Amino acid sequence: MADSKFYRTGVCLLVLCATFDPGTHSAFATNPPKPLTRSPYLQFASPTIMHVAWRTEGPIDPVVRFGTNPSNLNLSSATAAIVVRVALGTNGQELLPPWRELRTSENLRLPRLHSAPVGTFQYEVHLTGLLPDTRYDYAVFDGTNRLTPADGSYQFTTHPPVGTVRPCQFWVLGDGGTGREPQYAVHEAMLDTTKKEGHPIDFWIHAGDMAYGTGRDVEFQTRFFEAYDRTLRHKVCWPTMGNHEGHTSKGTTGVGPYYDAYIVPTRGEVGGVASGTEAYYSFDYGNIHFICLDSHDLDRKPASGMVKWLKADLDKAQADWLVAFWHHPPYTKGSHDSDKEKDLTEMRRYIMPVIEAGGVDLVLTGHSHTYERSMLMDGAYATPTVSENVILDDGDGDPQGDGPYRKSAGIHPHEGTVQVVAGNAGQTLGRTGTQPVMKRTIVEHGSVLVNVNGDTLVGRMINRNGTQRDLFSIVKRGTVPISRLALPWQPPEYKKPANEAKRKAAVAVDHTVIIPREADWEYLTGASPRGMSWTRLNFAAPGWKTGTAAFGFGTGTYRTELKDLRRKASSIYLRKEFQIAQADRVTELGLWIDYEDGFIAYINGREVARVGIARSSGRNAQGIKPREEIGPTYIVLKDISACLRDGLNLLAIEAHVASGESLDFRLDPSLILED
Amino acid sequence: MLTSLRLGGAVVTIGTALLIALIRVKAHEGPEHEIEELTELISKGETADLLLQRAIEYRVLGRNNEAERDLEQAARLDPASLLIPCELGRVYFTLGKTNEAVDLVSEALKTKTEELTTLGALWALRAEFLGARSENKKALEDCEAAIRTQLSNLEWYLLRSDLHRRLNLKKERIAGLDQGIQETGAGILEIERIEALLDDRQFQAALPAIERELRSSRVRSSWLIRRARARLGLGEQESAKVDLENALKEIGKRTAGVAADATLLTERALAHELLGENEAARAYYEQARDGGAEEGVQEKIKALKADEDGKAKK
Repeated sequence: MADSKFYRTGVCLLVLCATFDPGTHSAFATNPPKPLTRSPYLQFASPTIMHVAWRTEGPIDPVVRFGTNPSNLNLSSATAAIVVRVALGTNGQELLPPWRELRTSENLRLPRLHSAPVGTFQYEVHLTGLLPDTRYDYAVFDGTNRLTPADGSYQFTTHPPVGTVRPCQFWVLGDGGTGREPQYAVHEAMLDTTKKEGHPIDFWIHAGDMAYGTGRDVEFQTRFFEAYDRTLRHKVCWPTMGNHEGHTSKGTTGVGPYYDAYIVPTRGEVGGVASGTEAYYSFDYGNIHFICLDSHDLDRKPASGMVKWLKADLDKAQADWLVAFWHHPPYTKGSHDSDKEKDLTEMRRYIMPVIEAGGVDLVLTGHSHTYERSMLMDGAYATPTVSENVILDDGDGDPQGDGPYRKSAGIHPHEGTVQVVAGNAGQTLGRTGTQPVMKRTIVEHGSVLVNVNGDTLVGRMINRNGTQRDLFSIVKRGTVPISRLALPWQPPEYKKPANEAKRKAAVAVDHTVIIPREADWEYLTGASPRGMSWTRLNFAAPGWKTGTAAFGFGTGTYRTELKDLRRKASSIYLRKEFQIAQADRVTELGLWIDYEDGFIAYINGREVARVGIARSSGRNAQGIKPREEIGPTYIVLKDISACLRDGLNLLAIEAHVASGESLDFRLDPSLILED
Repeated sequence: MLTSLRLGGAVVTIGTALLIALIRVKAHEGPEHEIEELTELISKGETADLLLQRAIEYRVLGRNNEAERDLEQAARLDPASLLIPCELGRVYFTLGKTNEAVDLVSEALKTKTEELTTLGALWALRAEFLGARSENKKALEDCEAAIRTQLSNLEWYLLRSDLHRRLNLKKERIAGLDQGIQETGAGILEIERIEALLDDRQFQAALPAIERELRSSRVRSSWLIRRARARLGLGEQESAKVDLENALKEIGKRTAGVAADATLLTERALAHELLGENEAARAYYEQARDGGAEEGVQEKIKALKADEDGKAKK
């Protein structure tokens, strides 16, 4: 078995991003250099196959050169092995001139990307005839013009031959795609840990929710592809769809940004039974067989296609280890409760019996924003989940603690599964209670490294600081008798804190300031504009002045002090134009704003934010609450895709005090774009 | 601890703790919390999208009546959406309002759209609803329409195969599955094709594929049962009996001491049925039904019960 000390060295030196400075964040995420709009990334690998995909703005002459010698990329992708997908807009859509020219009959015949920015070309190159377990360097070219740097980071290693027993390490994470700082910290912690240990990952598994909030193409771009760019370019990510991607992608049809982003085996090319769909699939890596299910929007009942396939796949699996992954955990009391939610209870009731009868060793999930790891367990299908008679080993699974979980060599039904909920890779953490089958519940951001070496599997949770917070091991050796514990160890009961602080939004790490603080605005005070035309472009603004933010009176410093409004029922109306080059490339717009007491924001006449004002607007604004907190805050603007235009746009804000007795009035906005 | 946040040249001092701890992107902290948030947003301005999102959360919690209410309102706000009728149709169907579900989807199908796969999903949905009303012929027409919009959709081939089975269209079922295999390469369509061959009494044609699967499978019970069906059809009673007994042995090992999965219980029931052990077969079919098995299990139970009753009368 692997030396457990090896796993105990992990206190990461990195204390990531205690500061937050847009001027330095480029170390974490950058937009790819033009014409690339999505840097090359790896997909769907086997001992002899690799896929390289990328996107450009407009078409290129796509070529991948590769070879085993980095200074001599002597092999080249065949033109026939390149799939091109495009986003060219729809009939009648107003398009920028360069994109209008791309709507040629030839281009319109290409497969379409679901909702990518107009002008996007996605290239998917299928490399075949590769040597197993071999490192290749690769580069993407536009004809003879090299687009990727020769820095050694664009490389891949093919899978070892199926059945090969050799050490393998993979990274598991879920619910990370926020674009916020914890996501980057978790990624950095993994990179730092594996670098320090001199043991890089072979591939990674994303357990879903990689593109908050609704899995739109732009959210995939900024919150997944740019966030994990450094790992995606040289390690294959095997995905499963989360409920957030499910807002815009559908497993029943295999259509949506999720399905545009990934290429997975559907015809059993990497082992297992051909699934015939990208919604669920399986693959082999050495002596491990992996199974991915769609727990979000496909029927989970025994007669469904997915369950029939799962059973057929398990019936054929010959590997030493079986690992299954999907999004919705069958057992959790993190931010979700598996005793209450249908998606979760169905995974437990219908899927887990098939999984355990098939001899699966490890189940990896996300969805619940915490880290939970079970004891060795089997047969817990009831609701609510209880631990009596379903725990086979109630130890901690740590070789240096109670000892590893032990199973017989080979694949045997109902010898125990370890459940890992790894939904802690970025999203707001949460816990609802105590899940009795869990040995560990750790409410910290982090991810999981799994190492398989011969007959031993070791899983570790590495938190955002690089500290190892859990370790468990499964050893499959000899013949191990099974016994069920009538009264297993019980985790301590969780009590929810009485006063939990309300959480607020944060600015995305990868952002641009569109309207800075201390910008000049058109403003109106002492009166209210008639109608709503002031919230739109092309508004003649007689009586409006120009002033520099911040606006207000009372405590604080104001570039435009509004002393005349003191002790009055004060209001202010602001307007400012701003430019957006291409609206469909915008992931998120937000206001970084200090205000008192309430405000309403509009873009091009549409309300996009309302804080502290219950009803109506302008002189009729009602239910204005005094603001209790102090300082600037970040507000995500809603429905921007419905109102933002290519080119010139208008942001308008109205702010009101709660009462004429107020001693402070403040409005200090800036507009921030995640692109 | 304080740090600096530069935004467009201005320097703002804020608490680092704020940045690290207070993170949220459309926070998703369980469906109840999501519903709470969405309700607040909806109270400020109802949109079809917000209602749709809340309906999905209600559905997760099994609160289908509330999901229905939200989706109906969403449909009023965005009558052009094809996604909303898909979701609402599904909720109607879950609530037992199959007629409403059929009417709703029929209306949506009149929409002119370039989104062929969404249209296909609607055809398939109506096929499913009509199938539940035993209007299998109409359901088959809808299913064919769905397949025409997306030839690579595995689920729709399975649905068509089931409808062919119900309509006793044995040759069409095999041909349809051949098409599905060609288009998708899906393993379960190949299994379904072998089932279709057995149902069509093409036992010799089915046997080579069954033997091939037996050779490559770690778990053999389902293939042993299929081979037994073929052998019984060919009059090889003894060898079929051996297959069934071996299958039952393997299933027994896999289900010892646990609540077995419904697919294994169905297999076990079928093996007993083929051995003529109807009482045991019915008991296992009933367990499978309670475990969630649907496809044909209830009919099997009825048939076995009738058979038992008939024998008792004699």
